[in-house]
Amino acid sequence: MKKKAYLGIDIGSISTKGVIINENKDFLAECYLWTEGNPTEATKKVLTELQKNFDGEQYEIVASGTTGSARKLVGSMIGAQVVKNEITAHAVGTTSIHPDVRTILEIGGQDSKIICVENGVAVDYAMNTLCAAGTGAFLSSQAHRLGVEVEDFGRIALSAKRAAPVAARCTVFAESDLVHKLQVGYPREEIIAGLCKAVVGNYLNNVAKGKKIISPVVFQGGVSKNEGVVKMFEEELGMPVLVDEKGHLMGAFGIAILAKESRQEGAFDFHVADMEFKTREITCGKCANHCEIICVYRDGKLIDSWGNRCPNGEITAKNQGETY
Amino acid sequence: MAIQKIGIPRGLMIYRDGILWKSFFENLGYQSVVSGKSDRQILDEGIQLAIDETCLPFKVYLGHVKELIGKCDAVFAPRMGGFESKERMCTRYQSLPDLVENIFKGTQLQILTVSYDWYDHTKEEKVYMELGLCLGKTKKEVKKAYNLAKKEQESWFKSQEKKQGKILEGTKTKILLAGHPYVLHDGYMGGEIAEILKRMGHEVLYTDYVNRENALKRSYHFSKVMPWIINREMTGAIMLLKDKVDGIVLISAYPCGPDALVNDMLIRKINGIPVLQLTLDAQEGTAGVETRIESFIDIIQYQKAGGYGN
Repeated sequence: MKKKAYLGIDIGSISTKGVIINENKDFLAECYLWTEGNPTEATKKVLTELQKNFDGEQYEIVASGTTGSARKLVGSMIGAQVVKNEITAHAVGTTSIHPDVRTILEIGGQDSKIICVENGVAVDYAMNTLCAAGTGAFLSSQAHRLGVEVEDFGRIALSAKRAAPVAARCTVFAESDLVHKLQVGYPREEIIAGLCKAVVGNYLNNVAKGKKIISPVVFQGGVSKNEGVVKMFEEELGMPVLVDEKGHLMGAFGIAILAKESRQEGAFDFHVADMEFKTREITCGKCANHCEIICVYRDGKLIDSWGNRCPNGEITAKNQGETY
Repeated sequence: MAIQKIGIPRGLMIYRDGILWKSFFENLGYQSVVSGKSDRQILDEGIQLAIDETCLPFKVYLGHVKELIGKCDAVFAPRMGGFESKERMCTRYQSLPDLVENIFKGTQLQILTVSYDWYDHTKEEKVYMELGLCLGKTKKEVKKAYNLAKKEQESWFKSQEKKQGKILEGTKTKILLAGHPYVLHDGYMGGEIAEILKRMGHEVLYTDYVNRENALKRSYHFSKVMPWIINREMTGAIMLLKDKVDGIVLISAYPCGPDALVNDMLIRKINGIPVLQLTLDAQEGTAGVETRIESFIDIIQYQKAGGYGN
């Protein structure tokens, strides 16, 4: 008989991550690529990549889970057993690798979060609220303005003697501040270092406001690959900040573990990568709320819908036709 | 034209005094018309009427006033500076009838109002007497109408208090929703959060269904100087219930000056219980809110279970 394996997919706004683990939570395959605004396509690509590195002779995927902002869509696409929020997935994944962790900092493409952990379980969390200042998307747009690759940001920031003061409260203000600093003659590396510092300041004053940051601290998400931000965090917090080599996969890893622990099993087929998935948005006109309902079709058949505030929306979705 | 139908917008302090208002007018022989439940259309109408910087609940309120035009002869918009003691209301209440009058200029909307203000030692009974006399009723009629209405309002409130007491004795996961009543109970704002929690099978409690006098008194342990009565009642209720519930959700509608100060202080000062802070804006969809609530409930439940995988 084949050995059991578990699949976890984390579909974020910017990147999509996938891992396959075995019973002992060892990584059997992993993949990381850009979502490019198309979660279903990104998932197909992730599955194709995972399948290449996966030993299908020895292992069989018996359960899968999805997390991240497109978790519902991809969950119904692959028939996942577990569909869970990214806070829980990250906490589960991180505490499996670092059982003693107390604080998880995460800065992703469009959101940032902090998770406080006690005795291996999350006790508190916070997420950015109305705006995405100080996230990966912010750094990317500033990199574009400065004409550097965002991947080089960390290295350039570390070469600066000091950090130029940059306001990162809001992307719009930061941008005008940045232009001003360039015009008055600050060296580029100091401005980049200033941006990294501003990201940290923004994070600590917004997302992490009122939260006790206790060591050991683990820093995750795409922005954790930026050494400049890591250094600024260490300076601000006065404690070491650990960046895991697999930090970007923690959400996918966590949801794979949750799929394993759900003890629900079902057939999984890499074949979904070849199926056609379509989504369409319809506006329900049954009341003044005009809910936006998302319908998902697999090979032309309606498999799921959501977004409605009341049961009327389900009828609207069905009435649109079971096929597309 | 003689007034026959009096319109009551379903917004702001209707969630605190609405029964009193409705009953008072009906006891005096008028017909009362309450606007429908908040929805996207009401909000959109309100957004068009309001200045951009004002708060979401006020925009919703304007949408409700708009809905009442043509369905009644006058709209009731009370001015509330503060009640009997030194605590105050936010400036929107202090200026409510004036704001409504100016925004709806040209629609010939007639406005009925009362004016509470602690500064003048105004008693609630007195302002309703003034309103009743203004409408041409006798002192005796008005007094009777007010007393009956007040009784009805209070007994409704007592029943909510009692219901909540029962929930506290239960074994389900109990989540306290904390915020301004018009945010907590509005169908398009806090109402959706309560719905999500109930759908997940949890009990929902509200800070404004806690005994007001006790809450107000307790709030002085939290702050001696905070001026706003609604925030006082909310913080006092949190202090009274925090050891009896499993989690607290602080709900604020963007942008709220008093909440910005008070909620910030609350998340720093409340210890030993998971607190989730939600700020509502006029965004479409509830996905972000759902993720946050789901994460919050996970924290509470995995805590209770003693870890992941249990």
